[in-house]
Amino acid sequence: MNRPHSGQSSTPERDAEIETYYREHSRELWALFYAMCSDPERAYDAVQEAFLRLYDYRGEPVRDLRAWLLRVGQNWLRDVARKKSSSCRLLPGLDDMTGSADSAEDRMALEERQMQIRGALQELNEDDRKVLVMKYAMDWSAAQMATVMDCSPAAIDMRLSRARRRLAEILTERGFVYE
Amino acid sequence: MNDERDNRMSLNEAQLEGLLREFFRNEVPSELNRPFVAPARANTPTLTILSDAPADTRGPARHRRSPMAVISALAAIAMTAVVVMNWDPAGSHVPQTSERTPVVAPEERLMDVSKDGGAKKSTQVVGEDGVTLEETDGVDLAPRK
Repeated sequence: MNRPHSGQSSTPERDAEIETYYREHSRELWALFYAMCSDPERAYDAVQEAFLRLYDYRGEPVRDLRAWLLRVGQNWLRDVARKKSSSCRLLPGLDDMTGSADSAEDRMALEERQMQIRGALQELNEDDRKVLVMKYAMDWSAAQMATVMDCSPAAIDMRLSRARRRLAEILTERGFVYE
Repeated sequence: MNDERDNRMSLNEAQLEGLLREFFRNEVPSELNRPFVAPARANTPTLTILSDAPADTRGPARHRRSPMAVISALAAIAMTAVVVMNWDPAGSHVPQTSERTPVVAPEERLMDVSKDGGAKKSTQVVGEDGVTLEETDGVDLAPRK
């Protein structure tokens, strides 16, 4: 994860290295960006932006590639947030929906539910969102999360439990009906 | 109302787990499963060369000019000079073969003359009153005071 990365060369080997790194870490980066912005498309754009900048990067060798990508994506998200309100989110096209719902009505209902949960997640603080995303989007263990969050696995478990409870409260307050 | 409230409160730990797993399954963009495609720059090796080249490339570029390029440039300059020298923007240029023929302006049209050139003897009568040319020479044309 922290392998040295030369920004000087532009070779097929370097391109292949970037592509491999993308395959291995793009989901993790997406999850962390998602925890920051609560917008799946924007988080995906941040991942793409970070890797494109890495691709064009010709500066000093990057020692911690993950940290570098995170910083680039985070800065990009901040720039975007400054330019337009994060609440202004376009509804995804019907073809973009990845659920198993078949009819347009089902898809609309699914998107409605997604929006409700997304809205509830936005009310959590970023660290609570982060543990939920890492747990349920990445399926990470408490030990893995502890490495990223720089704390103990026990602290992760506590934070996870608290985040779940808080989310359930918010959903209940908002009249969310579990079906 | 009470049923609805009970329904809301029934969101237990297991249900929340299932809800979140399904939520994130739908939330993760499917594009993330596709490989990262390198931009078209990969097919343009010139960018690689530029990135390794010194900042100021004007010096070496001068030295790389071939003699043929210099000759071609000089020939082009000479041709341009010839064209400019012969350039007649008004379109009044006349070919050399026709330059010797007199050019007659429309306002300078010549008078028609007789075969003998219209020359008459000074003693010959001109006009209806019998006056000769010699006599007309003596006429004072100055206005009377």
